[in-house]
Amino acid sequence: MCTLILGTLHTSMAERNELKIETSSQPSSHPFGRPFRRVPSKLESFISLAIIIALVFVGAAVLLKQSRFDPTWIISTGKATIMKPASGNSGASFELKRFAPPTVSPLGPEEIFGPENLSDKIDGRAELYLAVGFVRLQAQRFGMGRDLKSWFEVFDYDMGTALNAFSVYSVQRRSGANPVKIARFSYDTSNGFYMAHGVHYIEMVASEPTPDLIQAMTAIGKNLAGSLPASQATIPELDLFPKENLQPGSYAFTVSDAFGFSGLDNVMTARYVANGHEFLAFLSNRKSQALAERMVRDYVDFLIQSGGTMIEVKDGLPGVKAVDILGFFELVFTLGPYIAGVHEVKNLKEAEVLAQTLRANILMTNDGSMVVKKGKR
Amino acid sequence: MRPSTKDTSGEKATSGDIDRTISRRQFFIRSMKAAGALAATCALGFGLYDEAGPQSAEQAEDEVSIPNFALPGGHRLSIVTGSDRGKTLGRALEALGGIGAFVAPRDRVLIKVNAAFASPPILSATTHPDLVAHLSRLCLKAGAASVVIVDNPINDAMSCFALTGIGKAAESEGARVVIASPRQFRPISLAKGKLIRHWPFLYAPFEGVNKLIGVAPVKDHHRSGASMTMKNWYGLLGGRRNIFHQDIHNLIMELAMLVSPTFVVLDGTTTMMTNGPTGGALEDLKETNTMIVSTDQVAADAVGAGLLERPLSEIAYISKAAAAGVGSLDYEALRPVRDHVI
Repeated sequence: MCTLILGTLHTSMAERNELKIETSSQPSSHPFGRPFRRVPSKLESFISLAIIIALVFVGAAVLLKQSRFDPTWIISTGKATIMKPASGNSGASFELKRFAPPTVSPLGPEEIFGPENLSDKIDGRAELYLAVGFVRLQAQRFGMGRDLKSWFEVFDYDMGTALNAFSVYSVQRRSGANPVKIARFSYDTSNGFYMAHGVHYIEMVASEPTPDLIQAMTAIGKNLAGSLPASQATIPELDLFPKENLQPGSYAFTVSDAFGFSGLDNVMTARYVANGHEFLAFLSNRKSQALAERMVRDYVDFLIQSGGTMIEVKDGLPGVKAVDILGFFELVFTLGPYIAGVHEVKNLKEAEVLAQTLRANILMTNDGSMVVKKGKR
Repeated sequence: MRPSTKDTSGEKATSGDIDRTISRRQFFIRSMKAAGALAATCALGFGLYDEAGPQSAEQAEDEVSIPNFALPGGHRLSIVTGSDRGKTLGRALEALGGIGAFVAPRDRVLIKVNAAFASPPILSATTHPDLVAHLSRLCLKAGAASVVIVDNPINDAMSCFALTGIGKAAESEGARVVIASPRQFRPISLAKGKLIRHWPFLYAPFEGVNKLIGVAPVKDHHRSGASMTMKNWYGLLGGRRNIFHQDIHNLIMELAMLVSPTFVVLDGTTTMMTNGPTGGALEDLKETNTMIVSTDQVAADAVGAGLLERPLSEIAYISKAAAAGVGSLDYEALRPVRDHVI
């Protein structure tokens, strides 16, 4: 800023000095050829002055603002950080207590958090949700009985899309998860209930592992699943995975750095167990065939650079690339905009069978859209 | 003949009518003047640069500092295994000379707990109320004039102290819980610190206190890798402290440099192995049945890293704090006293 001010002043002064010199200079016809100087017009002078004045004001404003900076002001003014529900978000704005059974009652007011203040509720874990399209969190505690011994809290995360909600659900799936038939993606643990339905990822955490609390949480889960929009509740890619040897509830959606490769994002996986071996099938929509083919090339290059070697696969698997790496096999292929394959499998034959079935489940129509081929699961 | 800039009639020439050439000498002179102006401006800016930002004289006077609460003598560490928190805490303190080695009659004791979340005790996301009760009782039995429990939680303070059970546990033993309010904060700076500069600090509970004890559970933390005794001081900060998440390891190091406790208690009875710092599922936890008491918060956290089954390289703030001279990374060098209670 100072540079601009001084530069402008200098230019103006230089011009003026030249003009002053000019007035006493030799006439233009001087034999040494002293040039004529340009006289700035009134408009130019006015603009220069206006710029200088504006810069002075900007500088003054910055100094004023800086002199008043005080990180304590937010806490000392006691400004509320809880947001109202935003309008126009996916899913209706509702109160969680509407879905509670009569055996429980709300403990305190419902809390609502947005991206700006999600960390005020869940601290360092906020980034996990913010990275996957988080829109809003509604949280409500419910108590059972008069003391504070038996209670639970409902966390309803609006994740914007069904895929985002499923991603959070799958990545944060707890060990000891017990599938429950409330929604397609729901399970409970000894003290919790977890569900992904539509754009919502829902967690419920109880103060103690008692059947009454689990029952109450399950009831809320059922009511929420029945009320939330069903049209966004499906993720069609999941139906493409072969069902044989598929581990129930093992679907997951990784938004970035799948299999240690930074370029591979938005990958759906399913876990299989065959002959005591565990491995993954995967699928990812790359938006176009060209992008899918490029991703396969890049991923295979990554595997080779990591110590893998290309190997042949059996006939009947056209376009499938196979890499032997660190004692495991990796198979990958494209179909339209999709890349798919099998990850970290010990037995090549098992990998080929799975890849063949996965490939057969994906069928391109004439207009290039993807449909599931019925009957070949 | 070229028109002059001021013709004989006194009328000014219009722009565009004049030859724009300048001589090499004039170009050089102008360039040097411009370069000089630029250099002078940059020098002025550099000279006026204030990393800390402007402070009014009043603000500078309001800044506080807290004393060093550490006792003289070398650092000590005890590690006691067992599932009963009261018993393991008692044995761990006995191994270091008993509570009387730390708390004297008429002492005013401040216990900084982790009450960050309105979370039930079984989830181990906060300091266990049993530990608060036992420690408060021990301090008062040693003759302390007062025992105050403090934290500036992330969630609503009243809910946190109520639902964690900490409030009830403290009051049942005669300790007092302080709920942080805005007027209890004063700005504090760490000398030569880069992050803790004129930052709101929960200072009022420290007034008149001469012993400080930190009590924290062993937890996974998504950002910092772990949350233990050094991260526990985060709860003394006010303002929009979540901005420090961007540089959390250095922030925790500076907190450990700022706060020198009398001793710390690291509760590894039930360790939150994953999904920290909030956890939520009992399946996130592991019964590690270990209580750590130390005058060296770096050494205590180094032991805790082992309970989390994490190499120290994954918890950078521990090494940073050790390098800053806060304590010892090699806790075995302190010759810890080990014991087991049934």
